[in-house]
Amino acid sequence: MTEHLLIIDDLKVNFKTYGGEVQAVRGVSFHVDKGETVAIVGESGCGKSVSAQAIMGLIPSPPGKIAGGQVVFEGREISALPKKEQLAVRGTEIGMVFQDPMTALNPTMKVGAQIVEGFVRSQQATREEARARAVEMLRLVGIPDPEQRIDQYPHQFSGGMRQRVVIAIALACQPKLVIADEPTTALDVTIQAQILDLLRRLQEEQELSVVLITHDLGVVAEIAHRMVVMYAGIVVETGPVKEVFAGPRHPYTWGLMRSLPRLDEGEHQRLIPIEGTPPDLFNPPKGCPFAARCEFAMEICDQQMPAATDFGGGHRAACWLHDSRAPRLEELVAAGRQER
Amino acid sequence: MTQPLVEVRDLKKYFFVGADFALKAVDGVSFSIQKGETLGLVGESGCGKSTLGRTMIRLYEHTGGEVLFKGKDVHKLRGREAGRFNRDAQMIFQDPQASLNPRMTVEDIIAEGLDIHGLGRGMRRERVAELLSLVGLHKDHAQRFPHEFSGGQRQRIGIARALAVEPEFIIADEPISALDVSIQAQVVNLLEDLQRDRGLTYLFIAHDLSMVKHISDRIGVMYLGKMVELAASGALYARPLHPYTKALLSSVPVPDPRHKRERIVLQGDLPSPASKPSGCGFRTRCPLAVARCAEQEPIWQEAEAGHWVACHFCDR
Repeated sequence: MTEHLLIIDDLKVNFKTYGGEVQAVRGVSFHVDKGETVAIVGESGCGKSVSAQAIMGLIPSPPGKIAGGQVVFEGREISALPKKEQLAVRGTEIGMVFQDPMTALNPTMKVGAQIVEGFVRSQQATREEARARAVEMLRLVGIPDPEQRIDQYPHQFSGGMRQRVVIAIALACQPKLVIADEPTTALDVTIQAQILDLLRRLQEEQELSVVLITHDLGVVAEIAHRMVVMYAGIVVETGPVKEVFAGPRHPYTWGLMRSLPRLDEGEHQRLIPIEGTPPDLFNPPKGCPFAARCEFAMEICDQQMPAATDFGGGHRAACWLHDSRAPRLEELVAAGRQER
Repeated sequence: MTQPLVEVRDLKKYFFVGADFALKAVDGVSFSIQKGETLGLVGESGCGKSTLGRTMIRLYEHTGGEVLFKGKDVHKLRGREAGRFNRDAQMIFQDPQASLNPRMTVEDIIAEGLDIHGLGRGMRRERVAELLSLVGLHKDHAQRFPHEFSGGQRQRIGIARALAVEPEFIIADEPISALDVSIQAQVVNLLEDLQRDRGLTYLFIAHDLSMVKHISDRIGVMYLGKMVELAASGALYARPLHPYTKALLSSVPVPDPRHKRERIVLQGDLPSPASKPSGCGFRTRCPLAVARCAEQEPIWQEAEAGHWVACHFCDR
């Protein structure tokens, strides 16, 4: 078996607040292979961004604390490395694309200098090398007239162009892995299409691995190979995108897909929402966090966290419905919502 | 044909910047909305869709043209009639975090309109309880403050506030954009139920095309302060005529990995509304643009029955 490029194993992250300790990430595990795009999907507060920040070592501490688990990149556990080597990995071998291009760039620095900041530090590059590199990066991400543009400031760029600059920064040190946290959420839909095309092209040309964090299932279907569905700080389902969309195994994934209106919907159909709201992570439920909103919930769901069931091909879901002792799904559907 | 509830004729809203410069945020838009109908308005940021909504409800003074509500120009209303319009037309805002006063209880937020219009004297508490249950909240929530609620619940409070004065026409400006996917469907269903039960008329402004298509009877597409296409939502999706609408539709990511299609990726960015191109506003990004598009502005015309478009390539 080939070794995974990145392994997240049982990651736990807590934040101390005045109201108590929030368990934002509660034992998340997944891996990323070379050259693949893995999407982490979930709603706000499910811990998807915090997981990404933990990989990059960007959890502010205090109040944040990595309470357990490890992040293994190319066989090395990053947090166990000496500080200097950690820096060499984060920012050079792993690049990060942030959500909001308005705030991710330094408004007082020329974009060329921002792009090569990490490159200059890690490669000890000369001025000429750095300048050539900045031009090359801008050209790579499709910005016209790069020779002129590198001497401009972020406010002279439009939103879509700024996001291209943010991507150029992430790629400047030729990373093996890029973590993109909601890279298109702040953009308009026609600009989003441009950026998704760019990410897909770069990923193929540079054999990049990409971790894409998003709440938009449409974006997942467009560019990801595998997906990880998170809910209330845990992974509820993971698998190849095609298989998860064709046959979601967790009621949350299924509910999410059902609640979306579709452009190609013919007759007007009523949307099927997931009733209720996600649980409070100050005091997370003992059992499955989705149980309170799940139409198939059984008694065991409130009591005990379900183990992941493997459906083959890397498709796994953590739900009691797939336990061998559980009633069959068809029976539950026929019986309607269970008495609880 | 019966008189439409709302009729917008050549509406203009310019913002004057400095001494001699006008930013033409809405520049000559015309359409009408029938009673009980939902008109969706889509477009990218800066296209003027929110400004249009706000000018229609008199949050902004207009620069030109007129908005007729039941046949009367709303920008000319004064006194009692203006007060009546302020009751009949209500707005739901995008960000439920920002549009609810954090220092007021839910009861005071919802009842503010009742107090202003002198409604519900003596039965304020009952009315608020009724409105809360209507939007799926509990009457015990009335004495709480906005921060105690989740985003979806706050948006329900915003809806209850809009409904308090029993309006006929509601402008919903991106009412679900700030909500999570699983909560969006809850709020959209609520809006649909309210429309069915109370015969409400909606102007639904959003940038999420799939949701707009789901909720709207007809859809208008805006670009740089102009309406470029307007049609029944099925027709607009099945046979878009304007090249911008085509590109917009093809840009929407479809949540289905088996779905493969030809995507029209537009080059370049939206021009600033402060420096619009001459002629057709879309020509700088349009794959079809020819010399004529720079010289002449396309006229707003009915290309097919009920299907309006402004493009030189749709001339008959």
